[in-house]
Amino acid sequence: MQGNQPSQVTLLLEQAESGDHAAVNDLLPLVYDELRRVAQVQMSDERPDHTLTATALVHEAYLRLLGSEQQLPWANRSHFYFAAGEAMRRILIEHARKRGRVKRGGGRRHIPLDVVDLASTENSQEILSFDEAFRRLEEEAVDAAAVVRLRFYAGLSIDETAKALGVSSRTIDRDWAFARAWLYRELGHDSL
Amino acid sequence: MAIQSKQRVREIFNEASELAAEDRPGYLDKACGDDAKLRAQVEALLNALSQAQQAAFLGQPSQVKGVAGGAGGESTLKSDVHQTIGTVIDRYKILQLIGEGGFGTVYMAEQVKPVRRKVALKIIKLGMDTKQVIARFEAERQALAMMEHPNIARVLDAGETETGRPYFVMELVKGVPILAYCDQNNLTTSERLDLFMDICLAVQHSHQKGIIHRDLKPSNVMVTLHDGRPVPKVIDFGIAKATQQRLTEKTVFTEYGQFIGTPQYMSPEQAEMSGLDIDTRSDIYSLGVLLYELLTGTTPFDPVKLREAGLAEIQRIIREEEPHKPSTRLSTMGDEAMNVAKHRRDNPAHLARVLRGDLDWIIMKALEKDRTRRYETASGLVEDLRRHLKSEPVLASPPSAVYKLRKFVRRNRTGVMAATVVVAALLASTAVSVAFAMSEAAQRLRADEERDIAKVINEFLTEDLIGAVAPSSQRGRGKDVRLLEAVNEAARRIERAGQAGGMFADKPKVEAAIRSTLGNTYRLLGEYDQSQRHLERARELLIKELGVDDPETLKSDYNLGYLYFDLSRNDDGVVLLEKTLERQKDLLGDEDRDTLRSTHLLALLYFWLSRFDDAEPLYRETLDIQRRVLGTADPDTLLTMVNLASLLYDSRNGFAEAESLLMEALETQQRVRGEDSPDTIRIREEISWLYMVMFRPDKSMSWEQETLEICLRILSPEHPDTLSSKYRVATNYHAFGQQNKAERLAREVLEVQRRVLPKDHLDTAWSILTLGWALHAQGRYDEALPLLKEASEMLNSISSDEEQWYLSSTVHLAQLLGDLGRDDEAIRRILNTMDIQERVLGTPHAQILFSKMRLAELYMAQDKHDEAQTHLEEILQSPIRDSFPDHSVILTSMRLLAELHASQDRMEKARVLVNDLLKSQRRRAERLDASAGSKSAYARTLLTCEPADLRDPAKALEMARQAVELTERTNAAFLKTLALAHHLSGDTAKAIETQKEAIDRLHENSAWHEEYRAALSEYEAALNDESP
Repeated sequence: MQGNQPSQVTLLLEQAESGDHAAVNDLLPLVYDELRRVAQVQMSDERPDHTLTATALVHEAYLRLLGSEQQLPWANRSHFYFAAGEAMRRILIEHARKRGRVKRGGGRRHIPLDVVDLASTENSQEILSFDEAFRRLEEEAVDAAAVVRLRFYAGLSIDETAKALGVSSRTIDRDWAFARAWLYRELGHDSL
Repeated sequence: MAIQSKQRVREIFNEASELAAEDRPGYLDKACGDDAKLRAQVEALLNALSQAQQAAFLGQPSQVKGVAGGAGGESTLKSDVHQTIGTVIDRYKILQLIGEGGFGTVYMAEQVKPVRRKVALKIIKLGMDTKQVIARFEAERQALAMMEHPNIARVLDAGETETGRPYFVMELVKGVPILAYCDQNNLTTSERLDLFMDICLAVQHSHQKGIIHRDLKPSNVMVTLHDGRPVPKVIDFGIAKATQQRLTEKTVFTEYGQFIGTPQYMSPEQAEMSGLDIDTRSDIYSLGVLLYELLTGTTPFDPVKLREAGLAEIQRIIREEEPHKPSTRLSTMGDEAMNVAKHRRDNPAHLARVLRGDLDWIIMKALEKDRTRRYETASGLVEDLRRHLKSEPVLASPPSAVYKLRKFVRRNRTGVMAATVVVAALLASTAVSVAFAMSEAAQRLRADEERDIAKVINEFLTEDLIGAVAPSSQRGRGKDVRLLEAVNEAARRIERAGQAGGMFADKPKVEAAIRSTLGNTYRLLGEYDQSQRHLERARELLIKELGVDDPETLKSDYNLGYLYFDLSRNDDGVVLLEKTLERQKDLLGDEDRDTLRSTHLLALLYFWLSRFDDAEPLYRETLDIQRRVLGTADPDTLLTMVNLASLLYDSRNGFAEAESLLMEALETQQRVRGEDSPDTIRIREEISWLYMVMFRPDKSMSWEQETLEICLRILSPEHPDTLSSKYRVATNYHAFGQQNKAERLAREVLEVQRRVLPKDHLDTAWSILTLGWALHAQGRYDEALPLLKEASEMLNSISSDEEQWYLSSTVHLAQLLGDLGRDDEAIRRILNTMDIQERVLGTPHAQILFSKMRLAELYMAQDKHDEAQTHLEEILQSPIRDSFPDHSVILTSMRLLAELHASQDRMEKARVLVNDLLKSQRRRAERLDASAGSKSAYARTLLTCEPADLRDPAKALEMARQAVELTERTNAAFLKTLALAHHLSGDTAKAIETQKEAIDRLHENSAWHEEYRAALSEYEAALNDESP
């Protein structure tokens, strides 16, 4: 991932903007690799105080791949964040599977998924269940799922999500509320 | 569900979700009409939404590692801040960013009108202006506006930006966070307490206004200087919550249970995250953490550990784990303690003493898991601190036994302090105090005979007892006359005096009093047969003269009870004492000195029968009454203090409380009776044992050697105190690797004990064990085996097979059997022992870990790798490791597991373990007071570890050399390690020379000769290869 990389990513982003969906798929592996690399570097950095939120990871991956964030219009960047969100989702799943500690039976445990923390083995089942629910949401309400992808997996704020999707913050607020409620119900947390 | 219907559900949900809760039913009535199914679906979603918000479901972006519950602020991009700086909001010009909280950003701003001044402006973050956040923001502003206190930042103004983002303006606190301030200025502990009390009062003020801070931590307390005086200011009531509903109608939003706060400072009920059950006592807990950190430089729970733990684990730690007391924490810090003390213009030892006691208890009371046991109010906490500063008794008391670990080393039986007024004085050999003490005993006799008896006793003492010892007496044989001879002489006199026509012929009570004294004296001199004869005779006389229910008779019961105790006849003692005590309470009341003595003795007997739950409250009850009625300096009070301390450290892991009790007792004793008094010997012994149990053999050794010197100076070489002191020095030598010295002393002690003690005495068993271990450590397996077997059988016959001392002796015996190649027998014995240990102790327990470690070692010798690995991993995952990370059981297990991994070619796993092991061993070995064993062990790892690239022969050479010097070149094993270090450092000639010295040091019976010679041959061969 040296000098020529940003231009390659930019090119892919521009293609994506021009409606070439294959380009988004090409972008994904690049972002995915970069995210994993960033995460690994950060974790081996002996900085226990470092919080690797998706926000920070994605942000750093962006800077590495594209240089300054301000160079691209938001509409183009949204493709990047989409790819990042997807990459982050896959990283989470991969980690959860790798742990291989998926507990079977005994019903779901109610660990609030406010933070998906890969360092914790407790969350493996949660991550996998959550992902299944997320896929169902994509089928049911693709726009709300897109908000989750950007808000939760890529760590964007409401405002940034609105810009990336080209809609108002109010709409994002609503979609986000719907997605949270829907997923929460779907995961059976509301059984009380 | 039809697509259309799904769409409809979502539309209605969208509308309803933006309405206030009370407006929703009306809207749903209208929107859903009579479509009950549609309505149920929408309501289910709305319900899920409010629960999701409560639970902060997806409240933060996903993250890969690190802190759960860090502020969500990272999600705002820098551009937000950059765009804001320089802009003008109403009357305020934004100058620079000061800080960011969960949802607000704080800027320094300049106000132009009506006055020109700098202020702090807190504005809601871009993209965070959701309803809940706005409600919380509003709540904070209102909360602050209600408060008016010099230690709380005031709110000056509030408003909304043009784009509708709310903000408010506060007094600008130009200060430094409190911890930084205290450390930069090296504030002493008492200066820190002063600042802390101001903080408490500010918190008290907010509580009176009905506001809970909920996020008290050092970064939320700034110190500013007013006229050169430091003034702390509590800031960031960002997640403050009103205790009363009227603060805001939007309470429901301010209560949503996001994992807010910083884990280290969060109370157990906050960690629960129910969000609904937080009250002012949560702040008390956080204040406790803050005080802990102010005084010790560290929080109760390791922040690194908390950061690395998952959410559920964080909750568990906060709810369940008992933090160390501040003074204990300080003592486990190692080198860091020096730095902490330096920042308090203090040294670690003194700082620990300052914290120990009141401050420990005050902080632990604030940190109680159960909030009903914390201080009720912040001002209650302040009052207790004031009491402490004025040296008045504090409300906080030592927490009862909460530690789940039990002690590792069983104390030695002879350590129990057994002194009485009379005999302590006798041993001091001062005529005046003997006479005084005897007449004091006489006062217990009936008043009408008092003068008569006192006269008789005085005559007896002056003529017969003291006369024999006093140097000026004609018959005197000067200082060389041992007390025992004097007592023997007195006993011969009394026999004659009791006969017809003798001095006591018609004075049975006088005779009984004298015999009791003699009996007690004999007991303390270790002459048990004589003691029993006199005590029983005294009791017979009293029963005949006064009956069984007379105070004097009961006192003779007590004397006999003490003898039973000394003879290890504890069950007999309990039967006697329970009866005696009951009668004494009826006759004399709870506060009578004799009643208290019996209470104390009964507690002591319970203790030795391992009935700790019976013993502890009895000790505490006795001590409370004694402190009140007799005063702290009274010998009886001191005795109870010492024995309570030994129970606490022995069986309750109450190290800090035990240490403070013992130091108090020693200081009092020295003040009252002088530095060199025999009474201090027992206390010193307890202190050295305490340090032994606390894994501070270095401290233990220096106390012990000093004590032995005192014993040899003022007591006879066969005196029980001298013997027990000598025994302890022997165990210390053993622990320090000076096996020949340990052997010599243990043999000296044993020779006397076999002669004077009854068969199967615990003290004898312990001496045999020490001797056996010292021989084992020299490779003299064949000599050690019969001794360890004898001791083990002896212990089994004295106590039940569930006693810890018996069990640990069997583990050691098993290890020896393993060394002799009798693996199967060894494994059988250990498994059997572990069965009992697990039943009696429950897991986890240090003793069990020790057994497991030995077992794993044996399995490794048999190539049963899986079994060995399972046990070693269990040891390393045990919670005991958290309390004693550098404990030898832990280190040995790490070493064994690393060896196991390496032998299976799992080099990366081995590497991780060896790295940790080297760090721990280095910590142990490089302490100023490190033992030779720890240095040599470190050297061995540096020389032989796998993977080999972690080896460091140069460092090993330095360590091995120090180990050899510390043991005065007497320890063969350390010399052998040094030889290897020379060899691997390239100086094979030196290696040969050193190895020869090691062989020279080996005892002729050692099993190691062959092995040592093989190494020597190897070095010699290597040297031959080198030379042409």
